Amino acid sequence: MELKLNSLTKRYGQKVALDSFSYTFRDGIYGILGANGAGKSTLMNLITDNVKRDGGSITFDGEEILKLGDSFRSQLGFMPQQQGLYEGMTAETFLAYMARLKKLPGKSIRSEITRVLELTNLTDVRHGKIGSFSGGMKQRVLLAQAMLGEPKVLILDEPTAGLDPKERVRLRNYIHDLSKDRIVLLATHIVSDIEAIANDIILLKKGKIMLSGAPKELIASLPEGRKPLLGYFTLEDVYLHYLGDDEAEDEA
Amino acid sequence: MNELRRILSNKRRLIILIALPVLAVALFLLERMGGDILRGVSYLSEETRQYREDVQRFAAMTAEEADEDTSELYPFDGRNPITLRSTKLHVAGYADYLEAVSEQAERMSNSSVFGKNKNSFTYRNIQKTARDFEALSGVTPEFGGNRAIERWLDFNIQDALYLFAVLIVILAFFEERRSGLLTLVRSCPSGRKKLALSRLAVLFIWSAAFTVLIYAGTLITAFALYGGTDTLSHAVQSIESFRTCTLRVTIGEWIGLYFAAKLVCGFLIGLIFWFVLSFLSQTQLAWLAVIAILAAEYAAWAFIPPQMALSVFRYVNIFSYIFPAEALGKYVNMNFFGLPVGVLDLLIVLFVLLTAALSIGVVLISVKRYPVGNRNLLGRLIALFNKLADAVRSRLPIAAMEGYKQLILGGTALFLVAAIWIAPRLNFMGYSSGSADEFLYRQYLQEASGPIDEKTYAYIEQAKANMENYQDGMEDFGKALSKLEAQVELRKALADEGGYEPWLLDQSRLDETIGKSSVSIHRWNAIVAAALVILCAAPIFTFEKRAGTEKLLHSTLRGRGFVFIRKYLIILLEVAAIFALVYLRQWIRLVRCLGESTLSAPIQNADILAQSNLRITLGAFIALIFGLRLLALIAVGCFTAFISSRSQSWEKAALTGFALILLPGVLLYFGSEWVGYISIIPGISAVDILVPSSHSAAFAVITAVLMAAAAVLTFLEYRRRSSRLVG
Repeated sequence: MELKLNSLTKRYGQKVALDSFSYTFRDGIYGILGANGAGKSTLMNLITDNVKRDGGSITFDGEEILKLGDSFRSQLGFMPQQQGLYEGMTAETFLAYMARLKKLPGKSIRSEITRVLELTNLTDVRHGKIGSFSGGMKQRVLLAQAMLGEPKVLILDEPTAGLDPKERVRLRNYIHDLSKDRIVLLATHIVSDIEAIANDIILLKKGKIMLSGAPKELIASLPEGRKPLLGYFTLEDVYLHYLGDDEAEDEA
Repeated sequence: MNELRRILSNKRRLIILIALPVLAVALFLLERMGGDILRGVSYLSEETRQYREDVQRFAAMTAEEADEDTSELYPFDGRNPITLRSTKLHVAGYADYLEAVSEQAERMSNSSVFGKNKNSFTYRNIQKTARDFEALSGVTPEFGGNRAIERWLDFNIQDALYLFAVLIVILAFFEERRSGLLTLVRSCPSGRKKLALSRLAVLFIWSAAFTVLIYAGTLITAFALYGGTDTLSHAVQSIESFRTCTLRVTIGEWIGLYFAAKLVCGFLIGLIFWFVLSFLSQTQLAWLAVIAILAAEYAAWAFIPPQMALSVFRYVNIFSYIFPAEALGKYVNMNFFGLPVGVLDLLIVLFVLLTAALSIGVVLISVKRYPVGNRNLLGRLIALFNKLADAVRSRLPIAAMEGYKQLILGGTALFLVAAIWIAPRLNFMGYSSGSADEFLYRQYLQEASGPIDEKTYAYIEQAKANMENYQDGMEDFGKALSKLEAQVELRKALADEGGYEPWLLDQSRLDETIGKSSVSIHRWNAIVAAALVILCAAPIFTFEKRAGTEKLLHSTLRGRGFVFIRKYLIILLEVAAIFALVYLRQWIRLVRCLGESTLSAPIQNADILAQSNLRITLGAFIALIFGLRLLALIAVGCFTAFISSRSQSWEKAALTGFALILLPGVLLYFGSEWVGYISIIPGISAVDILVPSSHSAAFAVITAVLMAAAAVLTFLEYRRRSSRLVG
């Protein structure tokens, strides 16, 4: 399985959100790390064909995803950044609706809903209105719908926002378990979320890839003489070294 | 006052509140005009002028002269003499009426049936009734024109608007709950008891203000139309419907009592809403409870007969407080554990008890009830309800889910409910007035309508023979019959020339229903129907934007073209529902009005359709009218959906729809014919197109173009949404 992005470009007016982004994703977990506005969500929206690209191509197993259309989306699980949910629906109704949109076989819908609710620890509130959920619970509902149908490509945009530490660890473990035979793209600016589980990490800055590689490789790329934050080098140091300027510029 | 200031600081709320009294007056006038603004102005001025004349005429008569007056036989509006005669006789006979009540009470008391048990409710009731009516001796009703007050009291829409105003302030009390600020407000020193007491005061002031704003406005309008301010000093029993009223007050004093009653009743009803919504912290359950209470109370109030043993539920009812005129104006005693108690007295006592209890209740809830974290019995019931509902909802196919989102979550079902209420109030006939012989001629036409054959001639001969039996008005009968004969000959000649079967039809009736006299009515109905479609269709795509789910749906297998088609299916169903509510009923009434026997007539027999090239029957023509209306409404739905897909909120989508679709229609309605060239309203009206006129061909072309445009836009939008969302 291969998802290949070639010279992918997206502009919003004068601003270049993604600049000739090229990468090949195979089975495993990929962390997309970058500050706010680096282009992570734009990348996610391009892959899910929610935004028109200005250049480049995206192929899945050699075929352009625009040509594949439905058959690509049938293998996609997407968790968007914004908490877009139907607050008047219960969790169960919402997941059933999403399952039908994903064209899951009718007979398997109930068992599939039960499965994802268990994974996200929402079984007790399956009949509760989403509007009454806390932020973290809503996040878990979004995650649950992304996991319906065991998609081959899982796009998670800021999946741990609003989750408590226990839930974040649970999520990491789950993602790690399902990463076999799947492509998982995890966009975040929380380093610890991907440090433990990502096979490869892409550092994104102003729409361009600053650096990419396995966590150890990224850490090893830090210049000598740099002092670690915690006494030993972590991805936080990598983040600050390569992407820390973004925040300083924003503040300025 | 801080709380009042907060409530009034919401601009949208303020606009609605200013609009309500204006709307009350506008709707009152519209109702008096029979729903047709253009033609209704002349109708209303004629009606009020005639009424004032008839009042003066009857005021000068004695009761005997009024009894012998036969002027209702051939008037513009026969109601005036009938009602004024009745009032005259009522006023003259009131003293006899009081005496009759007393005599009957004495007779019944002395009878073996009712007088046997002096401790029975029946016996006590007889005695109480006699006493209460005896207190009215000396009351002298006077004749006067009371139509202003009667029409004002009959205008129930103002009661709905008043309730709506009360509901707005109650909803404002729950704003902090909706916006998640409840815990913050309650943590403040004045956030509990003081706030609740302050709100009680706000509710009272609010009820008082809107009682005056809404009811005074319509009352002044009624008096301006029908006069009658000189009757304010008359005893209230001067109004015939107040015959059994035992209050010894003047009409003016009664009106004052009514205003006071509306004020305090508005306060009580607000308290009831407030209490239920506070007590049940789960919002949906609370609203369900409010609706259930109102539905149950209404059923009891509307359907339990007064004589029934359960009539206590009919009188001691929230609707008795919503419509206090009945309690104030009619004498009714209830059986209260064997004792006869006046309904009014009972309602007053209950009012005091309820107001006190509910006021204490809302304050206590405000102080004592914890807003979060309690999973009580109600919470468990709601969870059970959701569990059962999920068993159904989770099995719904996508089309049904789109309908659920649109109608229930999006709330457009409310507009369909509004359509159920609005539709019966729409007119479909224009007005015509005529002389006595015109009236007779139409009577003959109704009887003789149908294919012109031997039966027609036989009828005319018979009518001529019968005419000799009428001494009075023979000349008018003669004129009418001559006209009928001439019409028969004319129809035959035209049919021979045109090569179709001759029929005798009521040309005036055709003109009133589908001809020139009805054009403004049909345009108005078209505007109303289009408005309902716009309101229902506007949220179809904006709902997803507001929920933030567009991208999520778009990323799924079926979330593009598949969902798009199903959304449009829902719009089609909504359009069909609105069409059925607004026009199906009119179709049935139109057919009945024209007469089923005339439906087979070739349309060329109608003067208004004589130039038509269509070789169809009248029945088929009417079907064509309604078919065109349905198609035009579907086009409106498609346009609105297109606007919705490009709008950020349903309000913006609806307003844009109103501006682009309705505004030209409204201008057309008020006489700007040229605007019809850019409006789909002539298409919905249908008579603008199908009944030949100087504009019909142009309107037909424009309607066809607009329908085609709607189809093209729908297709283009389908293509766009099937590919991607944003650029």
